[in-house]
Amino acid sequence: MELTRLYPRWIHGVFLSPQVTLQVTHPVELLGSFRGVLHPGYLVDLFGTDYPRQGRRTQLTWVLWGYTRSARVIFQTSVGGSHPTGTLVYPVANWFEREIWEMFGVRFEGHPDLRRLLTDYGFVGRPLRKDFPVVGYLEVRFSERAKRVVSRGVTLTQEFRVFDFQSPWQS
Amino acid sequence: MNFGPQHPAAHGVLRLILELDGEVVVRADPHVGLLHRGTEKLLEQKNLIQGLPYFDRLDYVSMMAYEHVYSLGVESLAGLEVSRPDSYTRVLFLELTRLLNHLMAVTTHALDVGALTPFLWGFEEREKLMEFYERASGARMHAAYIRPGGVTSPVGVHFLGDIESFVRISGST
Repeated sequence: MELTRLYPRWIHGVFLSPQVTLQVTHPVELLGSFRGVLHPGYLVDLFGTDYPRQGRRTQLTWVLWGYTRSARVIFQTSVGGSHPTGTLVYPVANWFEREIWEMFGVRFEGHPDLRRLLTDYGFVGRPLRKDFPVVGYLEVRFSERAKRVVSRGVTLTQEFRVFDFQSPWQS
Repeated sequence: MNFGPQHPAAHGVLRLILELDGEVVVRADPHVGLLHRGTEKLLEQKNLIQGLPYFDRLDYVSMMAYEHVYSLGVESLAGLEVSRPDSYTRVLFLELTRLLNHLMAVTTHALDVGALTPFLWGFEEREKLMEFYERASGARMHAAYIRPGGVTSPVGVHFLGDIESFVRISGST
């Protein structure tokens, strides 16, 4: 490797940690078995991606990391409305799944406590779906009459502007 | 019992619903979304260069580290190669950023356990580091300096000399 040639006194060898991405259909079963394969495997991240033109529109991605093997294993699967939970294998999946539930509307079957996590109390909608507008539907303001913070529909005092003069895909 | 979000120890961003047994916390339900800014959603509306400054603000004590992560992501998606001088400049600034955030973390921790003076000394050094940020990018903190494809503008020889004298002076005690 180039690094061993550049710094022969300090760097004796280079080990590239392996990374593999797998498209799977039943990831939860695989999560359990890969926990042993990576001994032990850690769930680094679990996140969703929205593909609104697909029938099963939410793509879920599990990122597993094995400390002893220094390897990264990534599982991907596309889901519709629901998916079995991974919290029984990795308890850390609890908040990840709560976030995906509120952001994409994927229901994780068997999750111990599936509530909203990050959005405001009483928030309506699935904000990370691509068809959710970036300004949202509701805004909050203080009502002098009610003497408390109330929510109402979004009103923009100037038109919504997108300053994108470089993208070849939009005008 | 409710804890926060206006509790001074919660920094205004954390609320806990606590179940107490005397002074022992039996159960805690954290409400963590009070600082959630929807960066992912905002980035849907931006092109890749416009998205960069958000990453300064995600962690405002290690700004360039986050810029670098984002830039690496964009570069690996687009298959871009960074020139050698830009790469060295990045490493230099990442190390300055590491000094910046460690000075913050260590000295404010000392502050939390009752030592005020290290905080004052550490922040003096942070000011010097942020002057390097300012010279390179024009901004003390939210630099938007490391960008996909390289850095905004190269630094000069005098700049490197000043960093060396800073390291000699600040690292000598």
